[in-house]
Amino acid sequence: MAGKGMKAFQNLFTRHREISVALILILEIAVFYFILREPGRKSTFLNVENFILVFKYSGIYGIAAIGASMIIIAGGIDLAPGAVIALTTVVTGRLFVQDGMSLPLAAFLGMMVGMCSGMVAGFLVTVVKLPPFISTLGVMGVWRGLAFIITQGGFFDLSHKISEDFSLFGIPNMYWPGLLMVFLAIIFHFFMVYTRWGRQIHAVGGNETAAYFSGVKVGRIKFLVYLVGGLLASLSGLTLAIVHGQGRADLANGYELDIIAASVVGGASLSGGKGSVMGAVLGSLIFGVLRNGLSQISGLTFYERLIVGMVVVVIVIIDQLTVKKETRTV
Amino acid sequence: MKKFLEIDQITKSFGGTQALSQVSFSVGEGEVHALIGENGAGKSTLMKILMGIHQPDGGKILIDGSQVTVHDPTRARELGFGIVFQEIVLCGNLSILENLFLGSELAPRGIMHFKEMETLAREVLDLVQLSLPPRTPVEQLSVAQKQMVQIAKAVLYRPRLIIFDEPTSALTDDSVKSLFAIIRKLKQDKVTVLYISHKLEEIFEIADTVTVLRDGKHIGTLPIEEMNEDKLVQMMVGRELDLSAHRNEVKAGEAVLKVADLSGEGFAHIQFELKAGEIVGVAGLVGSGRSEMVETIFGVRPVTGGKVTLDQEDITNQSIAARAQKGMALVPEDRQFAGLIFTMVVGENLSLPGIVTGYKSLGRLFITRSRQELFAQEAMRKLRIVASGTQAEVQSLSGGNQQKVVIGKWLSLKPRVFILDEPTRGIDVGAKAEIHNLIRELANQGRAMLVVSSELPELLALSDRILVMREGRLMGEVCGDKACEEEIMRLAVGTMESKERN
Repeated sequence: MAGKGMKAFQNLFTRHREISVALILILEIAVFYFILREPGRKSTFLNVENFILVFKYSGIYGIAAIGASMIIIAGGIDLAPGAVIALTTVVTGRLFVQDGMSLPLAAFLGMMVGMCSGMVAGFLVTVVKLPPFISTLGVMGVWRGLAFIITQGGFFDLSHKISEDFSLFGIPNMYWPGLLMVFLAIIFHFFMVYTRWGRQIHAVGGNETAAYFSGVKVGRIKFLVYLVGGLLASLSGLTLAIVHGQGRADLANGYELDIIAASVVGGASLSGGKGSVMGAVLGSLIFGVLRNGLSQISGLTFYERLIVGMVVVVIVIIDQLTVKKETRTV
Repeated sequence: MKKFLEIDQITKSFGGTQALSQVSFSVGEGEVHALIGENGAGKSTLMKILMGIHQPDGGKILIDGSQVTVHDPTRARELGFGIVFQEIVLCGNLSILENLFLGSELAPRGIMHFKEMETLAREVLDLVQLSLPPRTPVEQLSVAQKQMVQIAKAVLYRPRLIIFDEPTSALTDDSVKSLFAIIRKLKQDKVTVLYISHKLEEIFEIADTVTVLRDGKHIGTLPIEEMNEDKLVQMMVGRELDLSAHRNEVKAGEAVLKVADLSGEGFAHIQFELKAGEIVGVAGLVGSGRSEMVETIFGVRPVTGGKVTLDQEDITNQSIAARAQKGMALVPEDRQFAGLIFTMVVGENLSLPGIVTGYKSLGRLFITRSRQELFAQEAMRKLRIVASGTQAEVQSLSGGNQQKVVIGKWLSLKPRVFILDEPTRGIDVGAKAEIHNLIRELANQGRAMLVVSSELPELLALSDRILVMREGRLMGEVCGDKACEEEIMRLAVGTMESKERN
């Protein structure tokens, strides 16, 4: 009886998954606000400083998640981002600290790490025709291994060469991951929704054969997403190196799975064809807020991982239920 | 004949759609009862209610005169209902035996009793005339053999009623014959058969009684003797259709497509020309290399020798996108596998080739919603695609409308050479007639049409001339006249015998 309005409301959620993901984020913020509030004192959770902190950490995941979600939408999977991030910090760190290169040059060469990773993964998937899981698992191992070989158990300390109040284009260091994430999210959202290539990426993930029969150059599209995925992972590594001031082989350990989880929470389907860049970024923010909030609740240190794991499953279950409801009414 | 099953006033709706409204008919014991109707007529809903997958909103099901409720599929099995699905639903990695007993293994205390199962398996495999060791992995079987395994699986529980849901859509003529032999044997054993099909010839061959459904309503149940093809079609679509209408005037123009000594995977040394404004059929048995040939012409498969020329231009080594830009289109054989993208809505499916090839009305670089919307709406209007709109899920469309989407996505690019591979497979009579008319209309507009089909009547009704293939070779070309039917079969089969007809 609720009629058209209700239907339109439902459609809004199923068509624009980002809205329901954003609602979950708002709900999450509200929950932490109430848990952490202390009457008569300024909230330690809901304030500008903490907000910037959340964006700073989420940004590192989020930038890589943009690429990962594109790969997932194209029907692939990428296990390499964590290793790419680590090797990027190491390469940039070494060139900047040990070889005395200028930061822009070191950073540019650091980005080559991601470009190579994307090209190798893309080559293995499209030309050698290995499954994406295996291709990127291989890249992950080799890249992480290279990072350890270069550092030889040590690390490159960028922080003493980058002053505390380092800024780029007048914007302080700590704002960069979050700003970059938002900027790239807008660019790539536009790319995925409004360009020919974006549409072809969705088509390849939805039904590779039908896309091929429609004239899509499937190999090129796949290569492209792995390349972009690698570059974005490297960019994420670069921000990590500059913000943290370190180039270490054991950084970003396990990030690949957190990044995939962020994409899935943001609405991507691991069977391909579905998902969005915005969703993946919102997913990263959900995890960022969760980690930040949990760390402020005393006595939860050892429970953090368990809670994060459960939240992923619960969000995806809720999502599955809404999808099922939708197909039943058809 | 004793009544076995009675359907009494069964009603079912999904959301706002009335799938079945007060359907009543009865099925005699041991008869072959055909259930026919266009897609969306309610056949599958009724079947799912019988199998306990859906619950009716109202009405009764009676077995031997007493009311039963089929609350789940297990209950259906207990009542003696079995089903053979249209699609192959077997686990390829498991053996025939394991598939037969899947979910009901003879395994007291968890240990599989392979010997007993093998004895039982051999019995049912004998019944379906499948002389293969029960331990053979299913993935090594042909489609026809897999379908036989599915029948064996349904027979294993000694059902009193077996539902066949379009069992022949994947079968060759030979296998259809053995399927009918099995059905006749089941009938002798007093097993009741509910046979769902689109193919009218089959119904006249196998059924004792026919029930016609249309738009969820029961139109009639009649003994087969009181039926004829025209009457049946009229009951199904509610209007008269002529599927054998032939095109009157043919104005063939210049040769648009030239295929010279073309060889590829599964065929060799094919040579023919396609002129503007003509419809050329391609006949041949399944496996004769028909689909491989047209897919190679479209650039989907690699060429190993020869040349393809479109408007004097050699396109042998060009990409699919380049061919599409130059005015070639292919509607593939399997629309689910190669035609549609189910994660995309109807409008996105319709505009995909246009987007890939940079079709001007869609914009070269950026796709705007409004342009895509106009583009898709035009295709929907032209083809009379029945859907809730351009934003409808492809999954929610009937088979006929899905096929129209696959045709529509190319039609908007105004191709001059239009290849259609099995354009009416698995779709209902009404949609079939519409697609036939469309093919004729496109030819009249001066497009060159190449139609591959396993259905000889379809080719005869459509084609100006027919190319016949056997084992990857072009055996000859015949006129598109009724008189040539025997000639076609002779060329396709390679013997002097004409096709047996009942």
